[in-house]
Amino acid sequence: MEMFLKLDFWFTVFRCATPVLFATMAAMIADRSGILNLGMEGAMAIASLSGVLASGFSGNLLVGGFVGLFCGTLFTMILAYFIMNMKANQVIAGIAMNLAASGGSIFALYSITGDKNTSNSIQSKAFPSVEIPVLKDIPVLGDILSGHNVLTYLAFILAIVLFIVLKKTKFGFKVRAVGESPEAAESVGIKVHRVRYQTMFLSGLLASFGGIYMSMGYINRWTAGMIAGRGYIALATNAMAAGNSLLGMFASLLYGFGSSIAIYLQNMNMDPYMVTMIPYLAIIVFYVLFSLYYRHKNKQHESL
Amino acid sequence: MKKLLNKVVSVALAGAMVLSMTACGSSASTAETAPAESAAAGTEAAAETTAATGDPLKITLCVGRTNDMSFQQSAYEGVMKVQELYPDQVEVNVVEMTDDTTKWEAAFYDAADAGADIIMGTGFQNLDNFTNIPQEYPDTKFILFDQGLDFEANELPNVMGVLFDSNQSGFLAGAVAAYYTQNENAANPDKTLGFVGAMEIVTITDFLVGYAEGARYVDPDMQIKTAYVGDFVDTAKAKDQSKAQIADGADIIFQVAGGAGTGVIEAASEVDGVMAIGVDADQYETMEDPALKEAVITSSLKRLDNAIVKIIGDYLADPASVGFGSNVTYGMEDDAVGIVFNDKLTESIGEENVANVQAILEKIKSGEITVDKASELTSDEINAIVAGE
Amino acid sequence: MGKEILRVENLTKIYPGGTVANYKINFSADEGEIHALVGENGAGKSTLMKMLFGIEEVTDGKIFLRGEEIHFANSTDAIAHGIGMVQQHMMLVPSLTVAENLVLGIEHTTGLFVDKKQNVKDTEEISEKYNLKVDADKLVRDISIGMKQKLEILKTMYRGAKIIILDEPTAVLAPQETEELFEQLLNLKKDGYTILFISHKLNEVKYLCDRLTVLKDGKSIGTYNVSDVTVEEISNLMVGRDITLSYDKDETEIGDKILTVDHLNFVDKFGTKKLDDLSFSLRSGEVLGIAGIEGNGQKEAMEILTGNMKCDSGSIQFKGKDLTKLTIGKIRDTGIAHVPEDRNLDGSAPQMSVRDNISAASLKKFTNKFKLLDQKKIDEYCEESVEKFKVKTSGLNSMIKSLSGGNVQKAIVAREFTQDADVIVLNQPTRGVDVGAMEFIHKKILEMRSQKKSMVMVSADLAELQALSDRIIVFYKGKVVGVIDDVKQTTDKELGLYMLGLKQDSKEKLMEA
Repeated sequence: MEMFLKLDFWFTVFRCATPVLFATMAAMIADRSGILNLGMEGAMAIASLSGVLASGFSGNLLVGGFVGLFCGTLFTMILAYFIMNMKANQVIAGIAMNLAASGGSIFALYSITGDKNTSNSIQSKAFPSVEIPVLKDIPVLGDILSGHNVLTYLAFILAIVLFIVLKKTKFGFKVRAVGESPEAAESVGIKVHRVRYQTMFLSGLLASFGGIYMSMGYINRWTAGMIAGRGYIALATNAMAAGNSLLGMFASLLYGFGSSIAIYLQNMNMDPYMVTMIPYLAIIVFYVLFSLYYRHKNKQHESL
Repeated sequence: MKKLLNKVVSVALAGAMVLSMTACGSSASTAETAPAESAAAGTEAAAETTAATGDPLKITLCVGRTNDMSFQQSAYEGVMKVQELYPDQVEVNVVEMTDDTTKWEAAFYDAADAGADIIMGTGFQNLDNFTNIPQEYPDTKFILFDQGLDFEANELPNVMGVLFDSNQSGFLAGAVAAYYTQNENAANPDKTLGFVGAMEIVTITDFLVGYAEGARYVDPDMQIKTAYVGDFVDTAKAKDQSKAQIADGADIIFQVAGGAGTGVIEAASEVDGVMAIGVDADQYETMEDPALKEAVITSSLKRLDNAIVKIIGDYLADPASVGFGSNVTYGMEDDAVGIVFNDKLTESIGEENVANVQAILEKIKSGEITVDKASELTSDEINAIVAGE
Repeated sequence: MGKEILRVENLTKIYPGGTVANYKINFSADEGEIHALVGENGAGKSTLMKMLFGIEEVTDGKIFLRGEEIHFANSTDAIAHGIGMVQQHMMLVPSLTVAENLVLGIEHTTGLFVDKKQNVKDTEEISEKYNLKVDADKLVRDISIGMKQKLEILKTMYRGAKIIILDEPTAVLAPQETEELFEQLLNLKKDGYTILFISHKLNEVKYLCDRLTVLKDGKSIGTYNVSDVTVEEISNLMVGRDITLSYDKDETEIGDKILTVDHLNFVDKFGTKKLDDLSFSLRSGEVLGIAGIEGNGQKEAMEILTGNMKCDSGSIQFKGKDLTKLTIGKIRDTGIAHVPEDRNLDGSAPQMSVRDNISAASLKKFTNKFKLLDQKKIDEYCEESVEKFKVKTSGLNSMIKSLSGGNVQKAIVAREFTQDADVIVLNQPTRGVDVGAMEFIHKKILEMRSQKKSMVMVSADLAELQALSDRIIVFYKGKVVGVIDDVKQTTDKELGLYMLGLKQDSKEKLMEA
């Protein structure tokens, strides 16, 4: 239990949660418009690699960030094209694209640097960590909440923005209408295809932020396979959040919390295989609890 | 109709060709360059040999690539050294098979068909190749590095598995760590050391057992934090685990985690006074990022080059002295394992301690110190050693 | 009546496959008119409406709006020209509120955000203005079907529609709701709106509409003043012969209880109690009609009765067995046949042939001594069934989905009526089929009744229930709330009171059911 008293433990929660939160939001916005985007893992891999390469060769952080976002988003738009124009099965297309991304990214790294595992030969840039004025001076809270990577703050801000966008803006209404009842949306002149391309664009952009965070924030280089399922776990956190990005924030923090527990428990010589399950188990348990809660709520609702 | 069919077939063929070319583009190019390189090292020599003593010993090394900065490269350097040492007696051939392991089987068959006397390969990925192919070529010798073979279940008199005493290099790493953590350069005076492995498997815990014993040889009060990433790729997780160990007082961490290990070095580089110990290759040299480079205090090494020189030397002297038909372990006494001694190490722990480490090395060589092997211990026994019980 | 607002001339629609859906259709509608479009299923009503609403492209012919020729690229175009359509399948977003649905796509905004207050205000205003009452703040998934329909009508008007197309709006409503809807439509007419009213129900057309245009086989037969024609004449024009939906029933003995449904309970996956201690029984030789607004448990009761769903508690006694414990196959073996509610989803395998669909339930009868299927016997049986049940098909090998709705339904009825079952469960036996097929199926049902079969029939068509049933029970919220023994004497109004839960029979009387 003493690990919960460590500030680093709580700091780690946020760091682990960040890429999953980006991916959760990516899954969510596509999901709300009626598309199952499985391509987050691939988009993250592509964005993380291209960001590292571009920042390394240009020597400019922002160029790297921009190229990373561009490539990851482009990847997602190609997936969107397959799903919407070619009528490909969403699951198959998504998984195929992910496999292509994992092989393609290694091939690209090899072609460019002659290295296959890591981008160690490239001097890439990283997004900086920032101290939040005032907050950083508050004891305990300051240590946990201040000093994170810029992209971590961006993720949490975007989660709030996404919540407002979906709930309060015209665009959000369109997305929800298209997702829930495309015929209804069509009948009032909303262009279903266009809205879905827009959400896939945003989905790709968000996933790419997760990708560049992995290689230009979380750590400062690219390693083959480094996304390690974070794009897939987002499908579970999104399911748990049921389309609400504030809950998505909670689900991602839950994953971060589980990961942090897993990391710190190992230091106490717990069995590593058992400990590795913790973050995933946490998501599953909470997903079930949430489902039960929603069911209960519906029942109450009906009895009124 | 027929015309259309022709068209379809030709398009399909063209597609297949393009695909296969992209897939093995690198192998096609290396197939040409690699023999050229090896030839450069030994053309004259080979020509002379054939003239003088008849057939030279034909050695073929098949690796994914020769520049992996790790033990494939070490093997490559080994055969090159052999070619230099015995220009008249051997003819070395190197085949780069690319990282696509599906192409490896064919490469070994090709080498055997080409009439090689000794075929060498590295790594666990070749376990099946070195179990099946040798049975079809009883007159050819096969040597597999860094992976044991099952000689009880298979009739393999012409094969040798070469293992390395990782526990011995781990022991030295542990000694280095113990000297460092009490040193004024270290982040804190705690006697806490870190270890991040890829998975809890014998090839990795072997390092850990040596590491723990080496650390306690220097100071019995050393505490060791261990963590396993769960795979070889999750760099971010490895970094988080290292950060957690650092937060728990570790100021030097030994990483045995493949690609994910870079995360450990990165975590160490971000905190003053924290160092990482690399693995398999000299990671001070392989890291290009100066910040990471400076965080690598030393690296534990598998010297495939030294092992190869020894094996071939022995073989040339007397083929029966080499243990074909069994797994042979090479260790410090053959200089087949070790750690990197460089300025960074001296600067970090001081000349006196470097000398101490070297003394320990000599004691292992001479057999004065024996290090436990993970393969001979149960999980519980390993845990007890790590916990210092 | 005002001046002409809409006119179509020689409007033709030929689908890419060559199917002629509409051929040289002519009709016109005036301002402030309720104009009915009647015709059998497949007569081309929906295609015509879709062309008027811009969903389908016009192959040939012209559409004039206020004397000017127009072309619609899509429905948005049609809306912009003041044409709105309320489709049978509601075009609403369940998790948005009534107000949000009303303004969807053309929301008021303040800066970046949707102006909730203004949208609610607009909704309340337009609701007030046309006396179509809706709750602006409620989520659409929580409102009644009647309110959804009002919302759909408001949606078209909010978007400036002057011409409103209603596609079979009363199909899902209780009689009282229908009455209310008609009142509001007549109000709209007073305000100068033009309404195109598509319906099967000729008495509704007679009551509500000013003029009607009859479609038959994709062509317009003619436009008539409603006051000039009788219901019989209209149906004659539609079908080409006289149709009466009143039948002479044989005098048959109604026997003892043959099947008893006992305290059934069922909660669906959303937690709604669909069956609430449901009990009723079926007597041998009777046709038991089940009335109720859709979603009051009829579907669930029939699915549980035929084994397609499992109940949470309760039992169904039949021939000494508890049907709730048996599988679908076992239930069929004990002598229960089933004409399901949805002929395309559950009733038939659309991709398979007419032969496979008709013979599917009787394959056990057609095996030879090696337990292999005897193709010859199957063909004989299918040919006989097709002939007896007048299934219009180009052959047994045609995919059943290529048949018209009425013929698919006839094929399903043929399959189920030839099972030699003691009890036949009929769930909406004539929904969406044309009058001719309806009459045919009705006659077959009465034929089975003469053969002493017992039947349970769920129907949304009260006229059908009254014409065929010996007894009617009414479902409300998963319970039987009314039992009508004297079917001939009951009225739509009385049934409607039960259906809306406004009237309930005494406990004793319900016990008898």
